[in-house]
Amino acid sequence: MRTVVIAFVLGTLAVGVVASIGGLALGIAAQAGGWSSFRAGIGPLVLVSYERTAAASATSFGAGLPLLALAGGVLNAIGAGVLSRRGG
Amino acid sequence: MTARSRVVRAPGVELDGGDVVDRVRGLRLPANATARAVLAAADGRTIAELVPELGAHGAIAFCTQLNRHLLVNVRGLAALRLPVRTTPLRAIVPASLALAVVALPAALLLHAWALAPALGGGVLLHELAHTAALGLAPRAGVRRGLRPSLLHARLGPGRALAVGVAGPLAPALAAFAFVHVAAVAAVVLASHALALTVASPDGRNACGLS
Repeated sequence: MRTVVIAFVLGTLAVGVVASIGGLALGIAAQAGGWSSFRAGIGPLVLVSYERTAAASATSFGAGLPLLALAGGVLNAIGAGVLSRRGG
Repeated sequence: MTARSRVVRAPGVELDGGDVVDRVRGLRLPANATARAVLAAADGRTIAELVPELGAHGAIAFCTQLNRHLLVNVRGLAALRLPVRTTPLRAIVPASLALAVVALPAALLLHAWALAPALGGGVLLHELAHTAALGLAPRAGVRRGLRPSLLHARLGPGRALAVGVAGPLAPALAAFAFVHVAAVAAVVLASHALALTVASPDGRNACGLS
């Protein structure tokens, strides 16, 4: 049980950090490149949105990002469970 | 590896009676007569000189096995492809610098020069964080090509978690400091966080799966 819980936490952390930095980097690239407003996500779940107006631009994270991180945690916990059973 | 490659006993490996003692891993293993003879004489002599009775192919195969178990280092051109066991910094720093140099042409081609230092610096930060988390515990650096790693004794669950997490987390957190300066470099640094998953040895160690 300990193994699966740790794997869930670490998987969530891993995907959360990578997705956050990826989103911020995307926003910075959009600002530097003068891109127009966009939303990146999976279906209705928004991961990152970039809004550009005449006066300013803003990057914001949507509800999809924590859900994606949690999905990463679940996948990692499943992987840990499988490896734990195989190991004996 | 050739019969003229030079072999030295790895740091922290000793012979004690009929056993091989690995002070870093905290292991004592029984050794056969050939292994004892090789380890006793491995002071920079060539493979051919160490075990002439096995013939060239047999001697190379035997020394390859000892090298795979990180009991001897093999010097010369062959050592670039074989594991080298040494002090942590001597394993980590050259590998990090080499990674940065190897990545530099591609980084310049992509007009993203920050990629190269991020690759090398990320590996440096990753392994230094593992080393720091190990504290004063006996450890050795191992370099397999451009891939550095740390060798140490089996740790308790809490310590294994701390050591396993420290490496990937250090460059991943550093990414937040760099993202506004060099976004590409930050993505490279953040990718170290993926080593927290069970797909990586660090993640498996942290979860107690190894």
